[in-house]
Amino acid sequence: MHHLGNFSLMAVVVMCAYAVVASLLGVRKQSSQLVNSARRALIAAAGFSALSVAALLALFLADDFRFEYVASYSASALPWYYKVSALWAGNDGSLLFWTFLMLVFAAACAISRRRDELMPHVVATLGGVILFFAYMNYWVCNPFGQLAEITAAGPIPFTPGDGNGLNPLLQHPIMAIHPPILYTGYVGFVIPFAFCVAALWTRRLDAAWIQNTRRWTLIAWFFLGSGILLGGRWAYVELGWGGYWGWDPVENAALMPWLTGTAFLHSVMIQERKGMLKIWNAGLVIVTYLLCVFGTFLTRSGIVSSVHAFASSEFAWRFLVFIIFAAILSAALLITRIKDLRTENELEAVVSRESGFLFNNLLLLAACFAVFWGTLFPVLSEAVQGEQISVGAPFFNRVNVPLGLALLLMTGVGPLLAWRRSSVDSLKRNFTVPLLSGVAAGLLLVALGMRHPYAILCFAMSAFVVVTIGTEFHRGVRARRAHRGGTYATALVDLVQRNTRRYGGYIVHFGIVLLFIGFAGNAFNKDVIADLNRGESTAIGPWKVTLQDLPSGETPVYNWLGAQVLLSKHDEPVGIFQPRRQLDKATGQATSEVRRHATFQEDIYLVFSGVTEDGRATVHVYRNPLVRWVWLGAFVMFLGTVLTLLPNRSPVRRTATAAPDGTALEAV
Amino acid sequence: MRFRSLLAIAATALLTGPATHLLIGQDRYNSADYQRVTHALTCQCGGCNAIVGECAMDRCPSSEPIREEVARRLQAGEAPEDILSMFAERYGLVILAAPPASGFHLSAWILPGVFLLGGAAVVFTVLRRRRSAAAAVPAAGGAAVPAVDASPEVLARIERDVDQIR
Repeated sequence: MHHLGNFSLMAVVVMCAYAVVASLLGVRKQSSQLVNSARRALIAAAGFSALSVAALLALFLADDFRFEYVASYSASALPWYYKVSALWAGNDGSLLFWTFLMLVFAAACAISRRRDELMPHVVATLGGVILFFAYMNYWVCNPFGQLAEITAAGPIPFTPGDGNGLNPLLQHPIMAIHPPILYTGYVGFVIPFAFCVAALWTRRLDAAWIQNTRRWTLIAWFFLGSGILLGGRWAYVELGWGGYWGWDPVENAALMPWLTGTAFLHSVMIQERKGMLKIWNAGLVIVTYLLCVFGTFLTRSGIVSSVHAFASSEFAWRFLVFIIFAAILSAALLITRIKDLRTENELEAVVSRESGFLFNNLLLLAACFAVFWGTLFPVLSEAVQGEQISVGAPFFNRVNVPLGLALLLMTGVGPLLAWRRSSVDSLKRNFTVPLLSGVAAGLLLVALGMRHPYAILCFAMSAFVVVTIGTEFHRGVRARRAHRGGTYATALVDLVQRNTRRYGGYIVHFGIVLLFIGFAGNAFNKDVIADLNRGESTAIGPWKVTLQDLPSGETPVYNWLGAQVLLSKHDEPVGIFQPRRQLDKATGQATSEVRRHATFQEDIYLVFSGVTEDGRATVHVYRNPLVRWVWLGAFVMFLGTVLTLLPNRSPVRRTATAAPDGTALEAV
Repeated sequence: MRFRSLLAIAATALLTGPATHLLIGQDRYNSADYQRVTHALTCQCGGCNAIVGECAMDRCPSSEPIREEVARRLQAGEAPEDILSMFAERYGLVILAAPPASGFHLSAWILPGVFLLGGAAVVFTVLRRRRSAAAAVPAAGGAAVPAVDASPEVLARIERDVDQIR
């Protein structure tokens, strides 16, 4: 099986190299046969990549511990589904999976956009990028390497009786889906990047490449965001520290391209509508993809210390060379095409939708820079000062919370601004009700005794944005009913179906508001640690946690010890919970299995930290308000994004612009 | 006498046992100062980078003793800042969860703000330049943009109608 895996990996290398050479030769010789063969080579590479992933999976499922990667991340007692997810538990396998996903995107693009005139250059770019990853997988971190014992007679094959097992923290259902979803987001940005490079390369710099890649970008953005939120959910339910976001370098690595991708999804609308910001948009796509590659470099190079990272120094310099090479090449393309990227229109007013998008972009980029700077500052400090320092949550929260609040405000302000120019009258008309709602919400909270300034601002702005979104829907429905009649509900459905992008976008904004409400809850987190004998209690606010028993047990994979506690509120029993400590048999690693009583008001989060020397159970109780709103917000964002991906029922408008080949472009 | 002493000790133990326990729960580990200090320090176990106040590792060889020491020092009346300085002296700056706002490390705090302000200046400059360019078009091109012959009331009505269908 490993021969098949290795052969397939080599075939991916050959196919990608062929795709680059054949597509470029095809363009030079104007041979459609060569160009098509390059495109097919990329599709074939996806097939070979699938074979190599299947080969590694087969080794995992067969418990073939002759192979170092299988022995390092699996054990025979592991359930089959965790043997599957062990595929991406380490550096080599996750890179194989990463390459496979990138090829799935590349093949889907090569099939669905085969008639696109940028395709030869897109194939060359995709082939070049994937060639690097396939090279790394075959020569630098090949997951099909076998274990060997070094003897005097030379190395002889060695097969351990069992594997080391999978890190118990990764033995969680979310971990079976979080990495593939996150990787899909990371690799998906390769498509807009390839189209951007192709457009710059061929100087076909109208909005066509942007319109053709809008859905690809949105899909990548959606998966990256979902992956980040799923990661947060996993951290919350599995790691046992009571939070869902720790500003770990690996978390930051995923957040950065998501922020620039979000900026791109907004600013692209200006280019589509007005032919402006062409350089900016091309730059954003390039930066977003480079940040995706930089993210995997951060995770795998070991240059920053992270609980998630797979440190590998062999990896680091090659990846760095690739990133620098890609950055220089992209920048050179951008600079040499600046004259072709001239804007087709000018901004007419400072107070307009266009400038709103510009400020939204500025805030998103500033947030991205703050995260980038904070993540890399320890490396810089050590290089300059020779002293190790830490940059953790207190830094990131202090810098990013004001930026996040400003972004939340822009979520509400943007849709209220008119394209081209907002008159004072329209500003008054559009802003009065939402603004009053926000101020009223803020004052009410102050009157009720809330004193945390950021939380008050957050709730007030949330009210402002929700009223803005509601007003936008209501206005649209009113206009539709005036035009076509019908009930409010039918007009609402009709309105959304006619412009899924716009109203789906508003639903995503609503999801963002719900996320921020959840984030604001963090300001009021409380926790208590107590060492309890049976029958003793600890209290946090109106909640009381009473230890009833210390049960224990065993499964084929782990031994466990639990703290059975009765949770009551105002002395009324709410339920019996059993947070546990588990000791993984294969790895010897102890983990917490937290238990939660979750409502939309607050989560009571119970962690059993262990038993003291005198036999008392150490129970850590967190009272985390509004956490459920984060998961609800994520779900609403999911719905909104799906809606924006759906086609409109009928075109909203037709643009008068024409593509270079003379065919009319339809803006939807 | 002996019986009364024993009774007093037993009663005290019985009554203050849970109270002491709650005291440990409420005061020793859960005061605002304790939270502040333990959330300003990072675990030094060598891998997790967790905030000391959040480190979930069972009997962590780094976070656990630090938490104990913070609680002890706070109970002894030491100021939170002094405790943080003491830890920074003992372990180096690496134990602080955020870089100090002084010397070279000040740049960590300043640069994001410089980026934002610099970006805002660029955006304003671009907006102003483009607006002037847009305003200059009719002047340079003569009647490039036809003048609208309508009263302010009509223009306002058009704007309102456009808003309605926007």
